[in-house]
Amino acid sequence: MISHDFQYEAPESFDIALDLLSSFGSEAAVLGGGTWLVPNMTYGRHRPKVVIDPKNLPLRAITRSGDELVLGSRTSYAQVIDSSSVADGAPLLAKMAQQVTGGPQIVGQGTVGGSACYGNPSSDVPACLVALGARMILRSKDGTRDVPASGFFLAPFVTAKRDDELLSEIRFPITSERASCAYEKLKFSTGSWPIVTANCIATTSVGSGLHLKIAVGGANETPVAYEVVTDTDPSEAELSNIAQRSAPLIEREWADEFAGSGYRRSVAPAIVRRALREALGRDRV
Amino acid sequence: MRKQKLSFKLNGEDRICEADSRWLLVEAIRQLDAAGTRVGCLTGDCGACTIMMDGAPVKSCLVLAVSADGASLTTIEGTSGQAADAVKTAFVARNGFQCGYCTSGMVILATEFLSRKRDPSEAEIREAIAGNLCRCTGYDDIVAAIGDAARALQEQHAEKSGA
Amino acid sequence: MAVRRDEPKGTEAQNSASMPLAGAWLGRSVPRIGGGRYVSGGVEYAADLVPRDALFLRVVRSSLAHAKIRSIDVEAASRFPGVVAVITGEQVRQISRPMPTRVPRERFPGYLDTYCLAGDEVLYVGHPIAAVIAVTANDAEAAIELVKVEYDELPAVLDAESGLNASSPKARSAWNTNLVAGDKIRQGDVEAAFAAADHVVRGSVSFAPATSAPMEPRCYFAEWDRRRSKLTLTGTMQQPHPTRWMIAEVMSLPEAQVRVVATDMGGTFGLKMVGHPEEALVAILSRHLNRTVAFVESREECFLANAREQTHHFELAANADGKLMAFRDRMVADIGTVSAVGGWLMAMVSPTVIPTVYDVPNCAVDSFLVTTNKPPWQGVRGYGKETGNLAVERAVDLMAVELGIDPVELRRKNLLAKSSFPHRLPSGHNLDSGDYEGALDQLLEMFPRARWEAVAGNETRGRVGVGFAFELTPEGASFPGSMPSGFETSTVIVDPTGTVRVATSVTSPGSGNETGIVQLVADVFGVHTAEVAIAQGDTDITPIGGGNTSSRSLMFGGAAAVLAARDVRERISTYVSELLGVGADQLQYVAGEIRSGDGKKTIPFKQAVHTIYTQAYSAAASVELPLQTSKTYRASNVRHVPDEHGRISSYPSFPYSVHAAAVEVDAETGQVRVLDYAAIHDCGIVVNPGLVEGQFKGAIVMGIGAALWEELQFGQDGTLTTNRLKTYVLPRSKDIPPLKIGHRCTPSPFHPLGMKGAGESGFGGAIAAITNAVANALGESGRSLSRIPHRPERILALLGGAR
Repeated sequence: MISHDFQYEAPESFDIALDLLSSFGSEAAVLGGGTWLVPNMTYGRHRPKVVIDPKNLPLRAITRSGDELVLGSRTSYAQVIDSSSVADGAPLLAKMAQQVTGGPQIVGQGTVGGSACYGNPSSDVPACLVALGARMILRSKDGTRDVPASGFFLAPFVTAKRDDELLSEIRFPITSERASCAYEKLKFSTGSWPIVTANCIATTSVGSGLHLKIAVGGANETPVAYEVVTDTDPSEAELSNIAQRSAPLIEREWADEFAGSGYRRSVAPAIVRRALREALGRDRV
Repeated sequence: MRKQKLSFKLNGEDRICEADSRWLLVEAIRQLDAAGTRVGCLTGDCGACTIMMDGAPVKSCLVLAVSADGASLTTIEGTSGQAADAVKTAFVARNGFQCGYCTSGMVILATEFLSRKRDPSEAEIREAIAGNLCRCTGYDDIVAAIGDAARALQEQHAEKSGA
Repeated sequence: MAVRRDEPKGTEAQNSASMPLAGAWLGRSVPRIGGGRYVSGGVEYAADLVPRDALFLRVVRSSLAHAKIRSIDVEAASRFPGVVAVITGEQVRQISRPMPTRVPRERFPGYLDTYCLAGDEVLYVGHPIAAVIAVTANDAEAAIELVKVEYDELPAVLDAESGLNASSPKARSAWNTNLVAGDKIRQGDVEAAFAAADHVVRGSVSFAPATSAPMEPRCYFAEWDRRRSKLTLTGTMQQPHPTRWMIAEVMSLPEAQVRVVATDMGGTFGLKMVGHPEEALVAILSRHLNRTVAFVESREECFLANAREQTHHFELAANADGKLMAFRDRMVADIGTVSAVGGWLMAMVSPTVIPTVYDVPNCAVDSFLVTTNKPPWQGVRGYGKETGNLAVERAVDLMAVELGIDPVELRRKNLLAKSSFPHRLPSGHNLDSGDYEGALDQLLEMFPRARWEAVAGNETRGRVGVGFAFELTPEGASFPGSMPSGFETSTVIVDPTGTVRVATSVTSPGSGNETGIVQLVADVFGVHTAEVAIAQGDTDITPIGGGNTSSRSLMFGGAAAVLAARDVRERISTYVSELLGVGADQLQYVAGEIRSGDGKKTIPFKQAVHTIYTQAYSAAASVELPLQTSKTYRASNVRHVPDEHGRISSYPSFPYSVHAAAVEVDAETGQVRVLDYAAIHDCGIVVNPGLVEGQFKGAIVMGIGAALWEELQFGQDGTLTTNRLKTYVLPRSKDIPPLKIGHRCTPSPFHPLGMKGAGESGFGGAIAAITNAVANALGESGRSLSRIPHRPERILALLGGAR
């Protein structure tokens, strides 16, 4: 149960919401799906003075805008899974959503934007957004700015979103038709949160070989990402090499109750390699 | 402590709840004589608090009662209909419960799942309840019960259309 | 009392009606009585019954593992809106007495403070220091933070081995040792046997602390009736009468002034045994404040239920032909803080199972129970037996590797023969019966060993391993000196309309034993189960006994009910035999009738009963009234008088199981996946196979969880860091393959119905089978597999660089 008193606001317009955020700043919390904010309040880990519920704001749409896929920040994983726009425009996002832990309830309640704003190293969303080259659209009373996902996750549970800002949208460049993708997640059992995640987008281009965009989550305090260009049909040894390059990028390794230090860095390459192979359509060994 | 008047449509009935503004939805529901929705963890892990909210299954411990003002809620007490009956019958016949604490959540999920899915595989059934914990049964009998219910529903549909 | 909700149409009536009336209920998988309530949200657990006007208690808990309390400032908390009172340990000592201990106080190394709030010393992070009582739980929770406690920190003992050193700080200042208890079990000549043996293997199994984690946390509420000076305590309690006695002691009330009502429980697995401080707290405070006081445990608090942190260092000696000759075990248990709860006694049980199902003539076990500044142990499923079983099973597997013998054949070679029962274990336990080899053969028919071993032979990313294990599971614990001493009582009443009521001292954790007891009684009278009602868990109604522990409810409570029912039937038979002109022992009670042996003369059961009630001075004058009896079942095969070796035996029955598991170890991540699982279970005569199988499967899955994922972790400062279900991870539906289960039946010659008790067996066997399978998958590096659970980083470390 929640023991501290808080003010609850469900603003009917962005202006009101942004006014509230401007007034209360760090004393306010914005409710996404509630899947992390509410239990944190229940256990007293987070005590916002004001809870801003954006349920009346139009933040759940998935639209295509030019060469971008636009996701309202409160889009649920279920919406992502069911959306043909996502399937066409950013299939990696759907693959990630399909593997979210917690049953159909969490898949329906959890939001992509909410997870992004939480910045939990042990979660699915941050590295996936980095892999997709997403842009985070942040609104405040002062205006709108966008921050690339690669610069959004600053530290565990710390993002570039200011206290007076609301994440309104996440924008994705449309994934090329010549790209295939894979999302590989290591978790120790069904109920465990992600230990290491690997996102891979493999794009073939005529004459330029194979372009690989790789982003690893769960292993480092913040997502790590890198790009590689290689032959169109890389050997297994080459894939292992490419995967191995993830390890030194994990400079601030994450550790927790599931695995202590050293573990994530040592297994990340294996998870990346599996994602690479999956993206390239190779049979799972 | 602040009180707030919330209104829900609970199992088809309009209800007013004099809620403590800090309450989680599961706490508000339980105050409205719908104690069949259980509290197991309050962190969204066990699923004992699962209800249907505006047509979708939710873990009601993750919802602030105030944010659910005006919502349409179906709890285990109001879970009825053809799929629900098949599920409940199968759970009793198959020992799909032991202590029963997780059962409200399991029955609601199974009912929702079988309303959408006709001929589920065992893997699909296990996936459907993966967000809900049971500490007593080891899941086998729950999965078997849902499978039995699915088959019973198939037969009922076949009878209807066959006849 | 349960409120009846609408049954789903036809569910229960249909199921009951489909049971043919003729023939026995014994052995039938009758669906749960009142099953409709379970699927429609109609079961009322303790938290559902808390009265609207109750006050709520939340507990201020120590944030240090070991300290003196310098001061407690409750000023601000007391003034918080909604707070009715804040109580400290000092006040508790003015208005109550200490909680009784599970064993006589003289057995402890010094004074054991068992008041329900800490006095001047806190002994673990989470130790209750003060209680805040408020109008709402939310307000009580908020006020807790306003209670200011000042400590003088003391060195904490957080490791059992170092706690044994004479120079170690003491976990409890009043004691000059951390060694609380221990056992020394000897049989034969272990020294000589080891010296003479051809082969010796050594190893250890080391259990991380773990917990029961039922879906329903604890909940109690106490109602003080000032007019009658009577206290009613309602809630999640497995043991109503022991609890009543405890409350009477604490509150200096006659037992007759205390009523304990055990509610339907959402699982317990030992957690809800008697002795929790909050049980006493709500009771004391209800009287003190003259209000109903409720405590609803949070999931976070529920994780303070510690258990099972212990290590066995074992050695096994064998001859070249594979005959096991000697087993030695040094066991050290970190039992946390000793309190009024008996959970720590599990560590006394562990050594007593040695050497389980095998014939090992020479055994030596030394155990050391060490108190530390961690939370008290609470009962968990397995109750210590699982650890001794694992030590033996690992030893056998290591020996098989050493000898180059098939681990199944090594087992077969050394199993106690079916003809060797009763068989005395070194601990004094008298094994009742068993067909271990038969069970093993049955298992091998069910488990596709060859297929998995062929897969294991292939080079794949995953290493596949197969493991086998037996589990010997003593049940029916009846410890000397416990209150009460291990017997159970049932009352059977036949009402004038011919329906039957049973009231029994045993309770149910949610396993359905009430259904089994009804089946047994229905059989005695030859009536439909729908004619038999059962009451459990209310000390104003149910007779005296120990409650539900050690899988005793059906075995003991059911036996007592049968004894009582037979007694009442005899009385009815007096009348009917006169009426029908047939000897009483010729009468058959079947299908709602009482019949002569040849079936030619009959009278409906209800009619006979009606006559007995209405013609007590004429036709039924010879009947000894009332049609009501209470009988106690006291298990035979329990021996509290020491034998020639000074050993006693507190367990009368010995169900067992044998398990096979196939696992895949991911060599790149160390993760273990369970591919296949089979097990055979023998608990003697089974009343309701569906219920027993359900228990067995649940125990297996819990064992898999313990083997692979479940681990309580304590920080350097003694704080529990895994206090939520996200970090203490339980098995889920997708984690377990379908389980292949089979049954065997070797009745117990010591039980009137041949029953042995079910509910725990499966748990230890699963831990052992999975462990052996993982070791098998790891190959050579599997020899050093010792720590439970098998965390991927540990497995990866064992695999080392070998890929």
